[in-house]
Amino acid sequence: MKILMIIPAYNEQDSILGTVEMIKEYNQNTTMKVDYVVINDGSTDKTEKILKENKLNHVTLVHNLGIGGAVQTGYKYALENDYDVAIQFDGDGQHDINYVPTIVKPLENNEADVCIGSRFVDNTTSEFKSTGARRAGIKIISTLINLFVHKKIYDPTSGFRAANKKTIKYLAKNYPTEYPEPESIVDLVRLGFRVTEKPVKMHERAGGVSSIRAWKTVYYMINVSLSIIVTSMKGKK
Amino acid sequence: MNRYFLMIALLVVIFAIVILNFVRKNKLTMKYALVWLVLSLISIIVLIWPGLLATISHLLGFQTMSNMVFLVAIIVLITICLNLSVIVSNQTKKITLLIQEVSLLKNKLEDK
Repeated sequence: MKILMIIPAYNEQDSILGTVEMIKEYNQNTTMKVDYVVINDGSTDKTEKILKENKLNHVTLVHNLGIGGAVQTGYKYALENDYDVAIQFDGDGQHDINYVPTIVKPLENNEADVCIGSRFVDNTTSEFKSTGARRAGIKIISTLINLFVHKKIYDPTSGFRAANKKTIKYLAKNYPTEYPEPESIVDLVRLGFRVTEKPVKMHERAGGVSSIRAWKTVYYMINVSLSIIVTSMKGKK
Repeated sequence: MNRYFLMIALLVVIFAIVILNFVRKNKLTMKYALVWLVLSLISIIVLIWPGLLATISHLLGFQTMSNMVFLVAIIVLITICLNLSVIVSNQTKKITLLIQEVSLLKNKLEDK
């Protein structure tokens, strides 16, 4: 099984090398081999220089597209290079590579098309669960998704997820742009893709800033809520 | 026809000339210039033939002619703006696709 790690990176000069080294190290210690591609989303810091000097496999977007456009580029790359599974993996050290088998397994067993690494499925796994306010926001989004497409997703904002071939093909063509995580879940569930969740551990970011900054929270919630509602009402293709 | 009507007519003509000049200088394509030119033409017709507006606004039951003119103007402007929002969204999609494809191609070329 060919597995690709999609690592979107925007100004991640402090953490990107560590993330890739971690993947390389992981490959040496386990039977599961994974490839990776860093999607440099038009970074303005030294990210590009680091990627080039260390000969890390990367696609550099000629202009900044934002997280959605960057991740979608990764899915296009996965499709072109015929990968069986694509995993979204943040370049800021938030995600834990040791949980890759956890989220790949449901796809391997053909129990799901997409598996989301979740902080909230059970209460024990992740010591890092984000702040109270953010958790409340996630809860609202989760409730909305359940309300509109009748699917309980505990951590809809998680950017740690694995997609099988069928899903890669769809996402390469259709991926939301602005705040893609919750919206893409709704879109996939709506179209009958089997979406599941597995508990994973997450860390606090090593460097960089979250794409959801404090002052943008209100805009984020309105945008995401409306996106969920509108997406759930799109017709079947 | 009084002095004010002549002044407004002159403004409309200048407006149309500015639009045509944009097209001449390749700043505006004819496709998007047309809507403004058609609006200019309608304004000129209404200015030359003010009775037309008065009759229509009376028939529709407007208190004054200006009320109808403002309402119609606002509706037309909102329609144009919405249309432009749709066009911008469409262009954003196209640009995103272009950036992605060019970037992937560059990666492929560098691999070889």
